[in-house]
Amino acid sequence: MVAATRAHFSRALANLQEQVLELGSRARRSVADGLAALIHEDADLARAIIAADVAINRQRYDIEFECYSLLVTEQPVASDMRIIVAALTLAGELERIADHGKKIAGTYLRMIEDPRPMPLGEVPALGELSLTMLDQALRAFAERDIAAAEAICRTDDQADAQYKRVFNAIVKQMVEDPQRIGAGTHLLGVAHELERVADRATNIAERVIYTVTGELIELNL
Amino acid sequence: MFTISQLTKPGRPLLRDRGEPRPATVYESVPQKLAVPTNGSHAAAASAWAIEARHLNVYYGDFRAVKDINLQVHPYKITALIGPSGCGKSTLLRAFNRMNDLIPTARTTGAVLYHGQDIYAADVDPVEVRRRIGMVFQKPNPFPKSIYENVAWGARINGYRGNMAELVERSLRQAALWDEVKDKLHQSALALSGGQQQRLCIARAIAVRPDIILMDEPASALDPIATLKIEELMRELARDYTIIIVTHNMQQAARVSDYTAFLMMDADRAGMLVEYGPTRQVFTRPADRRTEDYITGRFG
Repeated sequence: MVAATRAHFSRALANLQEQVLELGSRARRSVADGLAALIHEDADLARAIIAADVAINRQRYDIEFECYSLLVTEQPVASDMRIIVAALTLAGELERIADHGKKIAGTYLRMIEDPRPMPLGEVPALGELSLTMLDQALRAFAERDIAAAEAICRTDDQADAQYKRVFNAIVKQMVEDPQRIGAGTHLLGVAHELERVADRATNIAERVIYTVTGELIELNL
Repeated sequence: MFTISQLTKPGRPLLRDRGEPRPATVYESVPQKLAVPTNGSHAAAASAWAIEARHLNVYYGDFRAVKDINLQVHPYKITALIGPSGCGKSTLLRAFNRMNDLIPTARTTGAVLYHGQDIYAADVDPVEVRRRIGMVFQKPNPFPKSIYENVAWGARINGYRGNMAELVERSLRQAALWDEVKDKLHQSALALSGGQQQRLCIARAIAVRPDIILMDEPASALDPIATLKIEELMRELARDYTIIIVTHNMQQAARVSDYTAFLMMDADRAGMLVEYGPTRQVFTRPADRRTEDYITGRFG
């Protein structure tokens, strides 16, 4: 019964999804490299991340433009519409995730000027958790996997708990050693960026559920 | 003299006078003829729906064109019937005012309840049914008469004795045509553009004060601007009338309707109702895979 009608449009949708996933992998790299620059004290890497952000922003607008074009030319309904709306949302979320990576890199470049550094503690572990959630969200989008999308919600609770521990540990060290307040504040900023990456991963997971079921639900409670 | 609104309150029974010739005038006879009987089933048959199909089957000879349709139409809303060619949507539409009666081989089983009354009951007058449930066709079909006479015609043959000029003006205004034709009411309707002719046909339909208007692809012969005017008009009319529209144009169904019913042919080629729900839901998250395939154009 289902024939290959609208093959051109179907290809355009598949291509749109590929572009979103490519933006996703760039955004992921921005965060992962930001974290790596921090851990391995690699200033060159940090500067490369900041430089790469322009292209990421451009790709986000390319995706948006493609979405608007498909909306007006194809007048999509039902799941076609939902894919395009999800792509629009994801493009924005992913571009902001890349911004979090860029901010981590920028913060690191300011931190290395600080004479009294702060131990990273659980920050790398928080980063790993956020990256895992982002991977899960992108895979859920690629595979239209609702169960995986819902599982991200549970991981987000872990990320929130971990962020709280990181926050308390840094504040404790700043209280004990006021000379570390500068570096500690920077590191709090990094932890906050990583926590936001986890939140955005749940936003992506919500859009996966919308794409598949048409239901708009809040996972990040 | 009765006012139009007194005569057109929905839900009055459609009883035919037995053993009497059909009266010359519907309007003047309405108060007696359509009084709600106190002893019959009609009185108890009030319904929340403007019209409702129950286990409706329509046959053309041995061929079953639509099967087991159950559909409840919301009053003062626009309901779109969509589906591929041959799915029975026009047959279903015509079943709502007994237009299929005019086809000799057509046969109907099940029930169509108009405000709770079965319009196929033996004592129902099909002419009265069609006055209450009017129809606008795909191709504008004005009579080769003046604009005025086109609108006045239905009321006149029904014996309307009120102010005809007022009725014509009010109908043309409601059909969003008055301003364009008020200075040439006595010119031929055939000189109007296609879109104007279709709005004239709508004015003609509403001049007899129906309750429900059935529209069979009312804009498919019109250009995009005339189409949008008809769609805008439908929105206006839905304040006073229940509208059911058959359309092949899914964007039109999405734009103009409040509810959408999707029909398709079953394996035995009979049309069946696949999905029926609020238009916004049907077009954003249809419940049935077959609806999804059809509205997204993935239907072979």
